[in-house]
Amino acid sequence: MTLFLKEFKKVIFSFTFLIFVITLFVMLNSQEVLNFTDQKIDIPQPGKTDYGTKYEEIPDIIMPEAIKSLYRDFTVNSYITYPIGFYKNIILSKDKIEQMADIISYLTDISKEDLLKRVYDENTSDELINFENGTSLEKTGTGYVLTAPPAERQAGKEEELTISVKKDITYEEFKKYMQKADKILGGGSDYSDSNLISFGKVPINYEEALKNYNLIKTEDRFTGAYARLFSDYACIVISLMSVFLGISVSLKDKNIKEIIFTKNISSFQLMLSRYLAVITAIMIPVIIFSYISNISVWGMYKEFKIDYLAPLAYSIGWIMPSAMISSAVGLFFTELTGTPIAIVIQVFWWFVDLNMGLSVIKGGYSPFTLSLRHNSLGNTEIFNNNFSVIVTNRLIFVEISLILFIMTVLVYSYKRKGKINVFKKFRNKQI
Amino acid sequence: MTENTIEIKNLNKFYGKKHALKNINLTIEKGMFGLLGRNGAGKTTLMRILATTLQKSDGEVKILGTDLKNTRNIRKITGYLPQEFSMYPSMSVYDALEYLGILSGMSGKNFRENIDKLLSTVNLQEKRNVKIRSLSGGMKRRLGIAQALLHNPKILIVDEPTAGLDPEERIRFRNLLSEVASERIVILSTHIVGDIEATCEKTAILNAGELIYNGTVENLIKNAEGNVYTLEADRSEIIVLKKKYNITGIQTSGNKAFIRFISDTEVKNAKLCTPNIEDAYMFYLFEKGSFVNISGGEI
Repeated sequence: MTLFLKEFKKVIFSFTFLIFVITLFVMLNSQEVLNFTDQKIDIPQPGKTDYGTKYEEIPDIIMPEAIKSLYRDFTVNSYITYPIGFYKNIILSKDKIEQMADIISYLTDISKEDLLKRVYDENTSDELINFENGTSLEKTGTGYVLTAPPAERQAGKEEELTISVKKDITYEEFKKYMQKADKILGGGSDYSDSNLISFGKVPINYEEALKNYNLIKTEDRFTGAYARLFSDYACIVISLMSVFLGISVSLKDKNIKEIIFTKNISSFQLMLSRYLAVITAIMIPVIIFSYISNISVWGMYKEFKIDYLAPLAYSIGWIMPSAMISSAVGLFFTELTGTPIAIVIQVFWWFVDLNMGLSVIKGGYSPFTLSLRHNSLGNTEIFNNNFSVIVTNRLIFVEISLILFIMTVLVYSYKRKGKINVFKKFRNKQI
Repeated sequence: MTENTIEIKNLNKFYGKKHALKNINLTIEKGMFGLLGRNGAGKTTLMRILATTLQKSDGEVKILGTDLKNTRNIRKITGYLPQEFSMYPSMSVYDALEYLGILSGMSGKNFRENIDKLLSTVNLQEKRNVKIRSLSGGMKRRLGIAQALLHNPKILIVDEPTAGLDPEERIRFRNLLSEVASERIVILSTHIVGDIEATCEKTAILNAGELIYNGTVENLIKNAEGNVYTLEADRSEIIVLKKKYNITGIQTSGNKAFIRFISDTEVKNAKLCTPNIEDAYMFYLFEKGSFVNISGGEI
């Protein structure tokens, strides 16, 4: 306990910790999750026209919306994808345009030739500029040729294609062809299996809105919904920033390693004290900010029984596993390499994870998401339906953190015994 | 005997192909033991092996009867001050000792009393609340000794502790080491021969990883007797004499130069003189065929 307190003091009086707290505050404040006073959840009133929207896997909605979107992208030959989380604008080659035309043609019954006529392909000529009104300017061997659009197009009489999926196409078959389209695009497009649901946007009716409200009231007891939205943002910041504290704790020892190595304490005891100190130091401001955020709504629900422990429960259950994994990555890679390489590793992982989660931002979960997303106030049904996935996800990250921690202890222990020679780079100077 | 000594048998250390320690055999008993050698001789490697922070390649090392493999037990009885001692700069002197004491498994009231006692021993009691970044080099070394003694170890290993210290601080430090050596084994590694002469009864000389001397300081000096000369010469002759002899000292006065040098044959006009430890150390290197030109450049 004494060692833990000493290590804790070292962490919280460090410059890195100060930066960590300031960044956390600035990020949470900028996302307006430190004060929810203007976001009261009211009981829905009947007769309104808009109760919000939701995403559902309804083939009759998804199929026409998805094919229209694919056709639109096809005609301009420009597709947005996130293959490994990074934004990418895809322009297809002639071969792939033809493959894409085959897919659309099969699904819609529009002939491939007809489709190919309508595609704007900047690959057809390096020296061709197409304007929106159909005019094109092409560089030739002798000069430039300006081509006016056909008369019917100029007059707005060009035949507009009606895009709809053939009646005999089943949803399963449609999904299979969308997968093919996604594959042509290199993956990560809206047409991938996991992202196709984004075309299933449907309005919420009064009964559903009322059901949602009652779930927030009974399951979340209001404060839970706010704590969850706070955790959505806080988890993103913590997943990234915690790595710096792990690195800092380890790098601080760089010049005094030789002294500490020869002390009697076990590597496990020392590393455990440090790891716990880092996690405690991270979680204290998180819990404080979470309560500051949550207290702002307590007055709005005086007549209801609210959950005062929701900020604590969400901080520990939702945010802490991310703090554990991020700081463990920092500790492990810094002990292993003696460099802050963990920054690169964690930033990359965090960025990819964040972008991959864009399609499920409102509350979609996978067992391996680093920053769990639930970017909506309420949406309790989705949260409840996915509760086991959320628990699995968080437990997986706790387990990986503990594995990394044990590996850190082993590396540290080997270094202390000289089995990994930390003095290698100095050996020519001090033999 | 083994229970009270450090026994090193056939110790070898390789860094890749480089043979850093060559078949070292050494017995170290209670009191101050000096390990002498030029930079790169293998002193720090040997110190680190004894302090359990570096693996030996082969050989046997027993510290007070405990095999070196038993690192936790070795660390319980060993205090170590490395060549480069630093501590968290924002910690106070007292906090640093408290922290390192906890790492050494110390706790309780006695532990805090012990810190006060040690601060007094190393003459840092007035600096107990001063941040480490504000301490002078000498004070940091004294703090280094204090941290190495916190758990009252039976062995104290100090690597080049006086390098870079001013003469007053060096003497203070040497006296401190002599004091603590009365009840334990203190291994002092240094390339400053004066430190050995002032503090150690026994010494060993390492040269290019080989142990070329192991015995008393007295014998080391004795061995050099009859081989150290002084010669009064004209200042202009210095260049010629430098080429001819292994000069260990030159004192000039006007046009005259008083030259001290090593020679295994009698030298005309030169007077034999009583060797000091520096002469003896140089004579040993000379005798082992590893003497390098130490005469300096032209005057």
